[in-house]
Parts: sequence; structure tokens; C-alpha cells
Amino acid sequence: MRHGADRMVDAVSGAALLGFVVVFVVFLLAPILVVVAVAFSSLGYVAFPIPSLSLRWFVRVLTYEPFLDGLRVSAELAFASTALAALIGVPAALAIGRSSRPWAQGMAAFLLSPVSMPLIVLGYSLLFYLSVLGLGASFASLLIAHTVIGVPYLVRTVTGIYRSIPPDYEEASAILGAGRLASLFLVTLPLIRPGIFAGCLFAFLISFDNLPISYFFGSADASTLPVVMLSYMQSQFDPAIAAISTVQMVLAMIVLLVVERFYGLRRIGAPA
Amino acid sequence: MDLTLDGICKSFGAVQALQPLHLSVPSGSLVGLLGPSGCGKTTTLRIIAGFEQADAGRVLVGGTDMSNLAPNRRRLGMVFQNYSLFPHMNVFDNVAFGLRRAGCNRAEVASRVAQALEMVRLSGFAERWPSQMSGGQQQRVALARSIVTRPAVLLLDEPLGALDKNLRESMQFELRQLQRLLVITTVLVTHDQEEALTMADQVAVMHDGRLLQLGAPDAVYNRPCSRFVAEFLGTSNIFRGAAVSASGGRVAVRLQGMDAVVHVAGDTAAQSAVEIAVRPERMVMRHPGTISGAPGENALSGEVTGLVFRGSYRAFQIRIESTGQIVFAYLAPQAREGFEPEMGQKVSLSFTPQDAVILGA
Repeated sequence: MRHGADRMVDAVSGAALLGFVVVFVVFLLAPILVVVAVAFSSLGYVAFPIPSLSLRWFVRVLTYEPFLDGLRVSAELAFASTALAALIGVPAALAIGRSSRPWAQGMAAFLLSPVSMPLIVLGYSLLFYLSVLGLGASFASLLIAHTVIGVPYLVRTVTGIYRSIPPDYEEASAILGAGRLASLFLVTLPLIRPGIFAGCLFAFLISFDNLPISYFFGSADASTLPVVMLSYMQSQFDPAIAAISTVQMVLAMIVLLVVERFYGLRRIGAPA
Repeated sequence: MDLTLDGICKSFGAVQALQPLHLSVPSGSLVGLLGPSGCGKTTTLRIIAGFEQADAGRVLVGGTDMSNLAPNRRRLGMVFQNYSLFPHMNVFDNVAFGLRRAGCNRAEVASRVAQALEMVRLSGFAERWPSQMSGGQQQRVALARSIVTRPAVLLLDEPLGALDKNLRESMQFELRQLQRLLVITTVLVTHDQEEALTMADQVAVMHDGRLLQLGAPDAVYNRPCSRFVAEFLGTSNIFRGAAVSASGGRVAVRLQGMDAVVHVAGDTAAQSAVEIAVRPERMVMRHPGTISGAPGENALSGEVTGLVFRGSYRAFQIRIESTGQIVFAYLAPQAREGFEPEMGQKVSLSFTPQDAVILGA
């Protein structure tokens, strides 16, 4: 009986896995592959399958100033906002992680709240707010907004890993003569590094392809790539958009590969 | 240096975790804080370390009040239950951690780390990572890390709790040897009575935040002051009764529910209700009727209701005829003198007045 039930569970989960793979391939991978294929099209308009291979749309992308500017802004923004989010999120997570005070849980929920807020609403209200503060549509505003959406990811991952580490390590460090600051840099930060990496990775990728927030803060001298792409698509629909999408994907994959190379993605999310 | 706890106490919310505790640990000796979980022993250790602040009282090391110093300024060493070796550092860096914090130069760090690793017989392991080592080896590294700084006081928090039994026994001796060699004042926290008895100069038995008894291991084991101590440290047979007379350092006790009057070394007011404790290994067991019941013979009769082979001795479970109380007797082969009762057999039990203890209320 028991055997039969086990076998049935195996069969069902096997079928579910197969189903997931099929859905994944059909609805996520295939469209992306089509986009990548179209990027190499020789046609002057979007059509699939493509008649012959050409790099003309990559040349177009690399000579089209708004795309390059957008890419530069997006990259700078992703790096800067991730760094800022880490500077804010990591100390906050450390404070929350070991606190037994009743407000610590409330503070944790508060710091995670941007995740549950529709980004359109967040962008809209931030635009008003920052305009009143005299920042308006500018790189500074973009940076503030992207930091706001990046902080929760750092707080979440760092709090998680910090709580999984017994306080003994920090106590051992203290007993051995290390002050608070020495313990922080020599023991705590190395131990929570996987959490910081994971949080930064999320914050970076979320910032890099964010549209709804950036959309409100786009200006002539500081528009992110997704915003530039959207406005390009509104006026023309040629394979250049597929080419720049491919570039963007490749960049995101490079980031993942670099993290994998230096750290190992498998270790992210699990304590060392 | 000597360690003195001068009336330290601590409560967590409404729970009094530690009643005012006075304890002196002479320089170079090892005191074992022994008790079940929640008895206050860990709280005591954490107050000495500075991880917890006592509500009142002082912690003195070598006569200096440490109470208001941060843990990193107390010059202590500590071994944690789960070793807590820094997983991102190799053995050398783990052991060197405290020396570097103290500002030792490279040459001194290298030579003292090597020396400490040699002491715990781990020379040649300096480049290993904690994750590549067995529990026993990690324990040695933790020990090396805690002694390399020559701390004023060494704190051991259930140091052998995570090791398997055989290793634990050999480590008990090794730790003790090292502690003697270095003449380092040590506080050991453990719930393992055997560990405390093996390692400590002085055992402090704690219960419900109170220090119940402090003394040399054999004194505490042989003369427990209360029922809790008698039962927590090893096994005890406890008999209730009333003291009928007391003279010449002997008390005659009429056991509850029995005709028997037993004689116990000690002193207590006549007519008072008392409890007496007798260790199972102090029991003598003979054929029924061969113990006369003369004064001082302390004879009880009963029936064997269980017996278990425990290697070096046999554990007998005997039901006392008149009261039904279950009594244990642990008898080594030579103590049985060829008498090998079986299940259901009637036997006589006795114990000498010196082997019984009158327990405090």
C-alpha cells in the first residue's frame, strides 16, 4: 500500500516537473529565443522566421546615441543604487537580526514594505515628493527611487542569513579581545557575505531592468535603458529593439556569471 | 588569578534566573558548575564573560572588579559547546585571532600559535579548515584558541557536550591535564555529572538559580546535602523516616512503613522527620536471614524485581517487602561474594551507618 502511494507521488511529481519544463520552454524561453533570433535579422521590420543573418541592427544599436546613453545610465544607476541599498540595508539587517525588542519585527516589515507596493504607485508618489524637494526628474531622483526598491532585497537576505548564524561566533570574537568594529569586519561581515551577495544581485538586476519607477524620472540627460527602449518602440518597431534587448540580456547574464565565478550561485541563499 | 563572584544575581522578566550567588575560585583551580538546564549555570558563565549584565553583585578577577567591562576587555578565554571556530578562517588564523587583537607581532603570533597547537597535539594542522576536521579536532582548536592568549580565567561551556562518549572521556583527562599544566583558573559549565566529578577541584551543584552545594567531588558525591544533590549526582536510594534518637554521632532512624530502625552517621534533632540517602553501590546484598538486624546492621528485606548486567557491575532492582519501595543495588562481582540471586528471589539488604547520609530538608 505504502509502496503504491509512494510510486503515485513519484509519478505525480514527475509529471508536474515535466509540465513545468514544458511551460517554461514554451512561454519563457521560446519568446526570448525568438527575440534573440530577430536581433540578427537582415529585414527592416520585425518578422520571424528571419530570412538571413545580419549584424546590421547591432551596428544600429551601437551607433544610436539614446540607447548608449540609456545603457550607461542604467548601469551607473544599478551599481550606485545597489551600493547605497547595501550601505543602508546591511546595517539595518544587522540591527534587526539580533534584536529581541518588540519593534524589531515591525521595523523589518516596514523595511520590506516597498516590495508589496505597486511600483507605479511608488514611482508616482516619489515623483511628487521629490519634485517638492526640488529634485524632480534627475539622476539623483532615479538613484533615490532605485535605492528605495533595492533596500528590501538586502534587508531580507541579510536578515535571513544573520539569524541563521549563532551569536557564538561574535561572542567568541569578543572574548578573544575584538571590539565591536573589529568583530563586525573580521567575523560578522565575512559570515553574512553570501546574504550580501544575494541581496546585491537581486537589487542590481531589479534596478537594471526596472521600468515603472524609472519611467517617472526620465529626463533628457538621464533616462534608463528600459525607458529609452519603451519610447523607441512607441515610435518605431524594427529589429533594433530586439538587438538592444539581447545586449541587455547578455549584460545581465554576465553579471550572473561573474557572481557565479567569484562566489558560486549555489551558495547564495544558503548559509556557508 | 582567582575569580570571585560576589552576590551576582539576574532575572529575565519575572523569572529569577540566578539568586544572589557567592563563589570563590582559587587561582589555578577548576570549579564545575553542575545542574540541569535552567539551573542558572549558563547565566552565571555568561555574566562572568560579560555577555549578560548582572542585576546586582560583582565579578572580581584577581581582586579587580570586571562587572562594568565589555567582554573584549576582560582577558578571558572561552570554549563554546559547538566550538564556534570561525568557518572563514583556517586553524592558524583562528588560533591567532586573539593574539592579533592583542597586538602581538608576526613572529610572536607564529611561535605562540605553533606552541598552542602543539599543546593540543595538532601541530601540522595549521593550514586546515575547521570544516575539514572532526569534532574532537575542532574542540582542540577551540581549546588552543582560548588558551593561547594566556587568559586570566578560562570558561568552558559544555565543552565536550557534542563529542561521542569515548572521545569525551579521553578529552576530560586531556583538558584537565592541560589546565593543571597551565595553572589556569577555570570555570566549567556542564549538565554531565560524570564530567564535573572527573574534571573539577570543586563541584558547585545548582538548581533553580541557587547554589545548593559546593565541595570537592568526592565530598559532594558521598555527603550530598539535599535530596536534589543526592539524586542529580548519580543514583540514590532515598528512605523517609523519623529520627528516634541521636547520640555519639549516630542517629537512629525509624523508616516509614517499616519496623526497621537504621543507624546513620550524622547528627540531627530527635523526633524530626528525615530523609536518608544510600548509594546503590554501597548496598550489601545477602541470602535472606543471614543479616541479623542487630543495631548497626541496617537490614531490609525484599525481592529482586529486576536485574541488568552493566559490564563492571550488576544493577539489581529490589522491592522492599513492607513498603513496596523500589531500591537499587549496584554490585560488582567481588561485592556479591558468589551470591547471584535471580528474579523473584528474596534477599536481605543492608548498609553501614557510614554509607548513609541524612539529607537536609
